Amino acid sequence: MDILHLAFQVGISKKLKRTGWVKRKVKNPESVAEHAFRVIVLCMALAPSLKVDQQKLVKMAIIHDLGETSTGDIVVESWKKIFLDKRKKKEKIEKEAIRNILYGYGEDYSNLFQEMIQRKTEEAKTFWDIDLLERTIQAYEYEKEQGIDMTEFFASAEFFITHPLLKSAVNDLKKMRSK
Amino acid sequence: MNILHLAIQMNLSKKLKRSGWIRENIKDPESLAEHCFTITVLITILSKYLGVSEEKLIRMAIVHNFSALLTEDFVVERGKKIFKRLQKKKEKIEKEAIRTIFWDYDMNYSNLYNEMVQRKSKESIIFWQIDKLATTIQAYDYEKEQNKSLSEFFENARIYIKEPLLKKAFEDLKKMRKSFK
Repeated sequence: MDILHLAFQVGISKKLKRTGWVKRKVKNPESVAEHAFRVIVLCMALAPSLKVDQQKLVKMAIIHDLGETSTGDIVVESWKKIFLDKRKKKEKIEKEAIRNILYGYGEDYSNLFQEMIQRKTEEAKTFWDIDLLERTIQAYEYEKEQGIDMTEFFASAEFFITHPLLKSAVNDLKKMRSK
Repeated sequence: MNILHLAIQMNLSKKLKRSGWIRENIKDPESLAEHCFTITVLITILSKYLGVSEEKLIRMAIVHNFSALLTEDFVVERGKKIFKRLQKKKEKIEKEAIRTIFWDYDMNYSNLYNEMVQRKSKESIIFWQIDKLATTIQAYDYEKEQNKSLSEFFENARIYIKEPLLKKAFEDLKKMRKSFK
């Protein structure tokens, strides 16, 4: 077990800027770590109301972008389209990366990651909804602060987010946006 | 329950840079959210080796800098000195922040916070050690990348880090530091 090695690897997530924002020339875009932290807080706070296993949801949030510290942040969707081949490839290398990062700690979370990417259990579906909601809120904030058109992100959110409570948050956000 | 309200408040943690680094003129210093994410990952991986409740420690990690969301990121210790009055002030604001930000969620954070600042339970003691270790590792990174001298962070961590596994990591870090200095 090498705690320092692990910490240095996680440290990369602070320096990694999220690709979606970089491509749209957002000034001082958030890092992968910043995104992940807000997703963690949302998962923790919302799990009881969403009637899903809180521990599982939070763990998903913690590991979901850890692989990006090895692979970089690869974008696999645009508007209402998901590039499935690309996503599959991304998930495969991320899974391997997470296993490498966590090698030697007894648990490599590959089962949990598998559950996440199969998107079948309530927890997995809810998790991706929260991940997307967090991103949409961030898009709203950048649009407001920096005047960059983020319509694409709202279109994705509207299309993909299915949980009623989270859907209603997206609708509220759209109302705020139209003002 | 207002999901957007919570999320927008949390956005501040992405924007707020940690005061200690600003004071040292670090270029592109880490944000509170980045620091919190780092310790959350360390907690997830290390809890079972340290014999502590992972869930409790993650909750501690989430709220341990909450006062910054209402006022500022207080620096309550430097090197071997702890500024007790400021620490009390921070803790009072923190409790208020927890009430304000999480008021609508079914989470017993106030008790947890008391446990955390009393520093008596095993979880709270280990939590602060992980927090210090993460900060010291960041200090090491900045020293190396930006050619700074951040000895006081190492001095401060030395007071806290006693748990054998974490202490071993801290000692290793000091060795690495010596080899590039």
